[in-house]
Amino acid sequence: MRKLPTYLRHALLTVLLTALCCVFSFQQTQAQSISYRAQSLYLYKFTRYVKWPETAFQQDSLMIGVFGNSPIIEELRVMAALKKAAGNRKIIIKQLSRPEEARGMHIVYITSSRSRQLIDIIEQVEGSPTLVVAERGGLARKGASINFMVAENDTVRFEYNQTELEAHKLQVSSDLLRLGYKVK
Amino acid sequence: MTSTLRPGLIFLCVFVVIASSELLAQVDTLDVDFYDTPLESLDSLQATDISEELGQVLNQPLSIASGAALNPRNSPNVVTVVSREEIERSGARDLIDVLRLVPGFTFALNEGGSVGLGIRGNWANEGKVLMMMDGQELNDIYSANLNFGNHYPVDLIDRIEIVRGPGSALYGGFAEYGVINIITRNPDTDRGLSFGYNFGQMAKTRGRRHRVFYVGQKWGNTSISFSSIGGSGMRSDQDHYGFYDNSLIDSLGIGAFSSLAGNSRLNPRITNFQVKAGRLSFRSIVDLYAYNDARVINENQRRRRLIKFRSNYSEFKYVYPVNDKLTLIPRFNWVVQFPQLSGLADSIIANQEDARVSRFRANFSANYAPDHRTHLIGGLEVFRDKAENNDQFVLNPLYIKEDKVTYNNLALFGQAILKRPWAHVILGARLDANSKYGAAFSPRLAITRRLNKFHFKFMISRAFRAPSIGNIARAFDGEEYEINADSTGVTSFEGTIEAERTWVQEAEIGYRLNENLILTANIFNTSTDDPIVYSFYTDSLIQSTFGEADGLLVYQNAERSGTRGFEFDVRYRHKKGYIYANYSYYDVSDKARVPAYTVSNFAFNPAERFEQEDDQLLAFSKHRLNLQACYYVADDISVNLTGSYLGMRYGYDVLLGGDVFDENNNLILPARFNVSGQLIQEKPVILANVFLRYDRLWNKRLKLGIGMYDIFNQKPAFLQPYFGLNAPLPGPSPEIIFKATWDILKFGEEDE
Repeated sequence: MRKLPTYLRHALLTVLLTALCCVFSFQQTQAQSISYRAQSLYLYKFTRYVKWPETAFQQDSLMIGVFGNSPIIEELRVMAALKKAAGNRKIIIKQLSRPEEARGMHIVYITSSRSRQLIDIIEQVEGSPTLVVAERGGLARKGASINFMVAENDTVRFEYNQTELEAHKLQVSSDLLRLGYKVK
Repeated sequence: MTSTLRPGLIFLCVFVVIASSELLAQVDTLDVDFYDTPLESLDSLQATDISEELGQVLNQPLSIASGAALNPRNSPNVVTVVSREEIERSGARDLIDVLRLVPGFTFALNEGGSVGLGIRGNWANEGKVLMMMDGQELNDIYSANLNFGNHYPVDLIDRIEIVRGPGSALYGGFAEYGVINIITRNPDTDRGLSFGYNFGQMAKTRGRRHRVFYVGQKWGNTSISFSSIGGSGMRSDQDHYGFYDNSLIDSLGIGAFSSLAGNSRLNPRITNFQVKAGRLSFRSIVDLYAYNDARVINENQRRRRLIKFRSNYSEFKYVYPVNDKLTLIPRFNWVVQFPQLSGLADSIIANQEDARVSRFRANFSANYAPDHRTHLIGGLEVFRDKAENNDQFVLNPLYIKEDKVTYNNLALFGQAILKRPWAHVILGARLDANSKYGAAFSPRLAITRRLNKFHFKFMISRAFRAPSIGNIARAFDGEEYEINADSTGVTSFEGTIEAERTWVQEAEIGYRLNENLILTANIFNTSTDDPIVYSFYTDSLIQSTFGEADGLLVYQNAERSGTRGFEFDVRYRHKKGYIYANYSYYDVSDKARVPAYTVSNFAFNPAERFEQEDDQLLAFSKHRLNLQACYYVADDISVNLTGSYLGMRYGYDVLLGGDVFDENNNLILPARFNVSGQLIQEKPVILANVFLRYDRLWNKRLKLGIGMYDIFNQKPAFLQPYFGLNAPLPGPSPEIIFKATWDILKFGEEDE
């Protein structure tokens, strides 16, 4: 068999090495890319600066559901113990194992590892006043209300889908939106 | 698997092991105050648990690699950033001290006392590395060379951004193996008036003496700054073999050893002026640099030939933001350079100032960012190179075959940065159309990805460089030359030279081990087709006519060159100081090699040179290790250690023979004419330096530093990386350094 030129062999090897690195990195996707503490602060600000319709509150509490297993639950539970949502409402954190459990939640946080089930969550909360927040970048374009992202200077930012926010009857303070990037 | 890549894979495995052993998720201790963070402060909320000190290194936006502000981990190149703090605390004497700490960067002897840069084992000085100061291209237009050694104003640098790989898709010609962008102090970061003084003392002579001046002020959108550096310096104080001027050879012999103390001047004088009024800015840099030709000695064994460069760089730039997404930037640059020689024996051509080289460039670029994930850059660049020489028989300093030559280049360039959630994709291309060499296409593709504590980069790019004016003038293909009737030398030679083209493939992996420490490793493969090579040429006809050692120093296209290897970099930053270490390795054993660059036996005729080592090239060690450690003894006192290990190197040196007698005991060749050359092996050396700095003396306005360079007295020599008949240039003896900076005035302090 004819031998490939040296430079071509090296190029192929380089590609292979890079591919290996990427495979390894994709296996690590459950690990945090944005500090959970920082995300929990943003989620707390969402409870303060997003306005839900009054009919959304059957009880005097704001429900945050975390879809998937993630250390952010511990962070959010500490946050909920320390702080209250707008209107002095109690914040309740609930771990969701099935998409159907998203119904009735005011905020659903989709962990990175469960990003593929975004569409299932959207189906469950369609038309209801639920803020769908995705940990993984790029999901606001695919139907989430908000997703987190990391800016060039390593700060936390978010992308938001205005169409989805309106579809879920949510009003977001312009001061909060100033920190985000509109994608739709 | 090639042997070169095996160590790279080992590094990769080390990374994986380290990564696996880390706890990837940690829950931070919370407090109530954290949740009371006001909304307006959230835009500075850090995404990761990176320390402020390391964040200064990793999160600083760079534009050198892509034209857009990307941080080093996202930049589509292997990059290094050197900050003003690191330069000041290291006590660097000149840019060589700063750049030799960059992975893969090694300095080597060019010709006649000029020192240039090698990157990743490749001799890069001949137009293969682009250096800019505040956006002005500093490469000599005639030869495309850079001259290092007490030249560029290290004490006026705010930061240096370095691409350790190609940047041709954006920057064109000279950015083939690397790009160095020096950003000097400016009113955006530095408002005030300061004066500095540097002094260095070698064992046998004064090493250097500089005066440094800076003033800068800013009022709203208007700013003005002026800086200057002037002084003198010495390359070395050691003995060096010099060759007698041609007119003296018959009476005195080929050459002699004599001291470089007082005989290897490196005299810089640079001024840098900028005024900015709203969107319009004007910059003017004047660079006067002079150095002794260390190769030629006079009858007193002194080096009197002075090579001078006077370069003027001017730029008008207008930044027009059409809206918040589109910015248009027209730029006009005019560079005029006057190479000069003085101190020659022939008074007719002494201080000859007729030569003039210029480049006029117009550049129009558009930056368009339709959203936060897309950045497009496109533009057009036109430049005209012109060289004029009033007397074509004066071959130096500017050798051209006509009174005036002109070459034009038109380039179209474009780049798209697509920041997708899964990766950043950077696509770019540049199309050059040169009046002499036709069209060339330089594409690039880079994919970068940050994931948790890792980052990955994959880059492939092509570079193109048209020969410079000097390359064309001294081109020779070994076929056409004329020998004059009285056999005094080759009177004219002809040849064509082609543009060279380079492919570079690189991959980088980085891992942030903890909040203070990051590790990065990369592998690279560089291949240049038709490399333009400067070296000594002779053949049997020339040798039989004039003598064994006669020939020409010419530019020729070799078939192919290149290196492959890897680099490993560790950066630890803490509030008490920092430690940086890097290791670089290259190999050429299964790469095509340029004969003039190979480690071969010494023979004037290339047909008689045979390679002795097939995995290494002249002047550049396969292994390089650098260390920089700084410890803040107190807030205003720091101790800095820098060190470089150079592995074994090869080069050529003179070989002095004795008197030669025939069988009848008649002297047929006196020792003074019995001079040849030999391949030498330089042992590994460690160059270690220490510098102590006190920042806040005398009302916090005075900064003082003292230190010593080369504390182990290694005196590493600069070897010539090609067959060019220059003996190694010895490094200086240990040098005591003293630096003082006085901030006489600080403007706008109340605003800060």
